[in-house]
Amino acid sequence: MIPAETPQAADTAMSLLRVRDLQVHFVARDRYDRVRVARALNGVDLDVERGEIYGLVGETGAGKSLTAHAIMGLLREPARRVGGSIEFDGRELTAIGDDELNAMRGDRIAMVVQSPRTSLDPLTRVGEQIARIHRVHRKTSADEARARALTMMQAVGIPDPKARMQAWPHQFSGGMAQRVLIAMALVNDPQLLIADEPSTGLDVTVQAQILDLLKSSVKERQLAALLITHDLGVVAQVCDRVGVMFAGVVIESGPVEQVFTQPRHPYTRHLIGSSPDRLTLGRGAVRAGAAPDLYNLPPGCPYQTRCPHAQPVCQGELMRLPPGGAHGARCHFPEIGQ
Amino acid sequence: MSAALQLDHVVKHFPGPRRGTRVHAVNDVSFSVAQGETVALVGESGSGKTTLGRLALQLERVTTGRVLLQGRDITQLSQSSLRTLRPHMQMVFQDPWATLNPRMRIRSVLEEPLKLHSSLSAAERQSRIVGMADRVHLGGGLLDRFPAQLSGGQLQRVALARALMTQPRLVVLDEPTSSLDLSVRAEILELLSELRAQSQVSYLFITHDLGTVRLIADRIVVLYLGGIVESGPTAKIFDQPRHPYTRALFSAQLSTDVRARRERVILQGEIPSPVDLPRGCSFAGRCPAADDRCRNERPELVTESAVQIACFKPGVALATG
Repeated sequence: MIPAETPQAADTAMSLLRVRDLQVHFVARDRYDRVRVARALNGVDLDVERGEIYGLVGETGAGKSLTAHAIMGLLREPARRVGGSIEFDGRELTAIGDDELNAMRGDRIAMVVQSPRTSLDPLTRVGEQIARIHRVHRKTSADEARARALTMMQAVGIPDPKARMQAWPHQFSGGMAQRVLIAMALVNDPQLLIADEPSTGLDVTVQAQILDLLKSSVKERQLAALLITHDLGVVAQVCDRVGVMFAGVVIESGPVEQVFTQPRHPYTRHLIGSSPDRLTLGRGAVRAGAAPDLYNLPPGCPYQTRCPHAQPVCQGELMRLPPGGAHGARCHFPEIGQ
Repeated sequence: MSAALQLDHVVKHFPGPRRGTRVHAVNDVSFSVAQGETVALVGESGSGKTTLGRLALQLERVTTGRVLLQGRDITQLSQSSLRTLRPHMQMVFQDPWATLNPRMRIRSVLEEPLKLHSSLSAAERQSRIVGMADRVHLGGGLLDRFPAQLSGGQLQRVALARALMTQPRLVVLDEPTSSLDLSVRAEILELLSELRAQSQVSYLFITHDLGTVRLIADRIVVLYLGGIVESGPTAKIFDQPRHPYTRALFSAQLSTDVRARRERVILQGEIPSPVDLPRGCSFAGRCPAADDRCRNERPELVTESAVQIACFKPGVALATG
């Protein structure tokens, strides 16, 4: 008998967020009216536990943000979820209706996005925006909601919060606006926080402040956080576990220290080796390699066309990640090149 | 031999948000870039690094001070005489997509500077284009494509090729790799250092990314609120940054080494408004070591064994966390 179900069976400890084999396609027609399918997510597996920050890292087009949008139920045509499951706190999110999802979003699942300024309503005072999110999900008076908003602004380190409640979004710097978004995300004590490039575009000293705030919020409140970033330094210094994405697949995941010190997938090694603080110029041979063509992915491993160790077996079924959040790669030859 | 570029007490003010106010974008900055040297301008947004890059090429006019290109003062030149110097000084911007005409094929993009600034024949221009495409590792097939058909890394190589077509002595690079993915960024940096080795071109490299600076720059100039706070040889500054701001900046960099000990200099607040400059040291408001003197008196830039620093307490012990 083939023990095909063993990995799943061993995976009994309940993660707060558990994504399995998530597949999202973009379906469009070309100018000759032929259907074209871009396979953007091709079987994403990831687990996020309470009290941990899971970093999802990868280059442009790898599917990081799309994964977040799929989890939040925010996919819009032409993006379609064509397979896989998203389990949150034991419930299958792909099976519930819009009303229930709306009740969950902003309450039990919250999101922080990259561009804080465009995410705030320019015509509403900042304190009021935070209070509104609270009142949408909780039966409280306006006064109570405002008091809650004030507490949150204090908690995220906005100086002089009482006066700043009355300020307009344009009066906030990028860093302060990002603090407001974090306050809005945390106002209803969510269980899961999804942060999509929360510190990108901020100055480094401000970025460090925002990441510190995110980290302490997650630890104090025992949140589960999914942090999407392209910055390996953010992963190395802030996250507990990491998933490396390539062409819509988490090709390697595990505890940050293990993945960074003993990467098992050739793409992970390539990515880490390309970061400026690991690089030495003048040795040549730094080749970026072509971005994967999502319209024509090869069968099997998506990295095979760029991989220096590819074998015929790489066109077969992709390896699975190990259960229980242990370190592993979806590669047939994880030892080569180590 | 005179420096490729020299800035001499350069000041730039812009009209402020309200009547009678001024934005003090650049406040008395002097530094030079030797031929074949790469100098990195480092700082956060609002530090004046982009304005300085534009002043270096006289895309903006200085309020006071001088800019010398190979020893020649170019601040007083008319637009038309500046134009004759343009082939010697070029610029590459952060977003290649925004600086390439979407309706021109790459071949024409690269031909344009030669048409403007040289008297080469059409055949000679074509052979230069092919030669340059080869130097920046652009496959010949890409020359007849449009910008929309190229990837970000390829576009940035086109922008670089275009800047180098007229064999400039100085190229100002404004965050040329910031919008690129890691592996593409590594490739562009490799290319930049290759091109410099071939042609002895000088780079003024504007960036906020210290990792990139370490790789490419010979010297580093750290800017804060339009002024130099510290400058010197890259190795020296990386080895031992002494200005509290430089140290905070370095300590805020997130290393990809998971075992790196992180001793962070915690900074409060953000860069102040350049409209009303602080009376004393521009960094005093955020500096963990500032005292009354720092708040009331402006520290001069002093040179000490090849490193320039503007601080009353260089190397002071800072609380880390």
